Amino acid sequence: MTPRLGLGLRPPMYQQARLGEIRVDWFELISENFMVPGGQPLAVLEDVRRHYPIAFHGVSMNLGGTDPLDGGYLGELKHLADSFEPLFVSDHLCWTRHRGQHLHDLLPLPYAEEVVDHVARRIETVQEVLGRKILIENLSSYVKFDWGDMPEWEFLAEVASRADCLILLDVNNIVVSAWNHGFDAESYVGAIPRERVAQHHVAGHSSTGRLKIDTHDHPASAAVIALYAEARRRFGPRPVCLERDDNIPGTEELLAELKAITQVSAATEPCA
Amino acid sequence: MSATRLGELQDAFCDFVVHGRSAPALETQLRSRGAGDSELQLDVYRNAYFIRLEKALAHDFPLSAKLLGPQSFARLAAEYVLAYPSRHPSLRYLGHALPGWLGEHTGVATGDLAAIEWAAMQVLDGCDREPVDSGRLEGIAPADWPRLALALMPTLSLLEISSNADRVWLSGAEGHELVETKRRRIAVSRGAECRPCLTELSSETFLVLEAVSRTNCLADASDEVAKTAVSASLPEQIATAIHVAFAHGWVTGVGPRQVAE
Repeated sequence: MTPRLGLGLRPPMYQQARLGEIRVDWFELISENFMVPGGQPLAVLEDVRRHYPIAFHGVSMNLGGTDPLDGGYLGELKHLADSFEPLFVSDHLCWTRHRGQHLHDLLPLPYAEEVVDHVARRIETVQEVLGRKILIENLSSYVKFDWGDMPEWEFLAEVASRADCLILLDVNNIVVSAWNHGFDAESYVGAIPRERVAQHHVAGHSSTGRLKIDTHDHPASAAVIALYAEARRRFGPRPVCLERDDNIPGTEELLAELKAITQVSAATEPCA
Repeated sequence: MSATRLGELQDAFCDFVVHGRSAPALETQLRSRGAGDSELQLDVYRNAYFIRLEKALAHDFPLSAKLLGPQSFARLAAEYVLAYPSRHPSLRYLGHALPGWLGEHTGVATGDLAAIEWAAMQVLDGCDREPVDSGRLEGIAPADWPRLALALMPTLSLLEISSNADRVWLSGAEGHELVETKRRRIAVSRGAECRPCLTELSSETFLVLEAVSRTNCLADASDEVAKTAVSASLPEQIATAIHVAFAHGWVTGVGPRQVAE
């Protein structure tokens, strides 16, 4: 049976997770945090994997960059994936590095036809190296470029189709970007091909008034919960992961939040 | 294009985020929703860049950050990341040059404390190796000693400090003021459950172990140490250093050079 409810594993949870004490179906781990020679991170990973299915979620693959793909990075990721058999390996539809400098942020792309080709080719290369399909995640973004006239959802769907990869649909990111760029979040969800969506993220964000910022430091908002219900209705049950990176409460509180989000949506039936 | 056009766009974006350079080329490519919007939108990325990197450094160097104070540390972190932009996919390695940089910009003692904190990170996630015991030396024929190789723990750091940074580190920066002292030598090594252990070393033992860690070969290390002025006799100095290394479990391989780890 496919595991359903997941949490983003963060250091405050390590001790409990190593003992299998957190009542969750699976954990999502930040890949780069475990690309180390040895020591405590790998010991944590081994213990957690003994108790739970896991997924590797990366932040530095640089799929939308113009620097060559980093063979060393991909080799390390393949080694991790081959060693720990994750449910998914995912990263973001963005760029993170330029001229050798890592910016450690998920930076936006122009939604242009030429960029679809560029990114899809890089995803194909990654999938060949890893020997598996990856999931690409939609971003929260704060700027939009004049270059290209595709809506974001069309860009995401087209990249996934041409690269033959899967989608990690982050409903919080849709809510954030919909506010910042003035599009309709439900239309976005409605335009994503069902068969490509393999996982969801839910999380909280902050509002500055004019912009929403993807901070992962609050519980998911009502808008995120409602959009997740819509996504669940459209895509059916998919593994869902609650992300929290700041102001992290105890795991019981996180689990209660995750259950509340999924219970709201459980009543909605998938489309025929 | 496209890779070229995309690369130019990323050049301009990067330049703005990292250096704050006014980027008309970038702003003309942004679709604003209103006057001043593009500046506000771009600032989200610029602010996030510095906050994220400063936060990563404060996480890895918590006592240095505590002693310098949040405002001072944030300013220094921003200057540091301009001098040493990240070249690694993981933020884990961002602080590789911070100890030396802080030593130059804030004083030796702060640099020493940061060096201990960096060494503690190596302890936490460095390569796993099992120590070997000194019994391995027994089977080595006298003729093989000149080409004897000793491999030390990859998580072992040998530091020269000129401050009480080790005591400040051990106290969690509580109750000790960070001050400069005469030069001392310490080892930071992996203890139980990947916890860092600090050991004070004599200058003679430090010299030998430092040379061994660099050359991996006892004969080469001896040649190096012989060039320095030492008080004890060289064989005695080397024997003591080897004893200390085995006693603390810092040796992971012993044997003729070609077979040691």
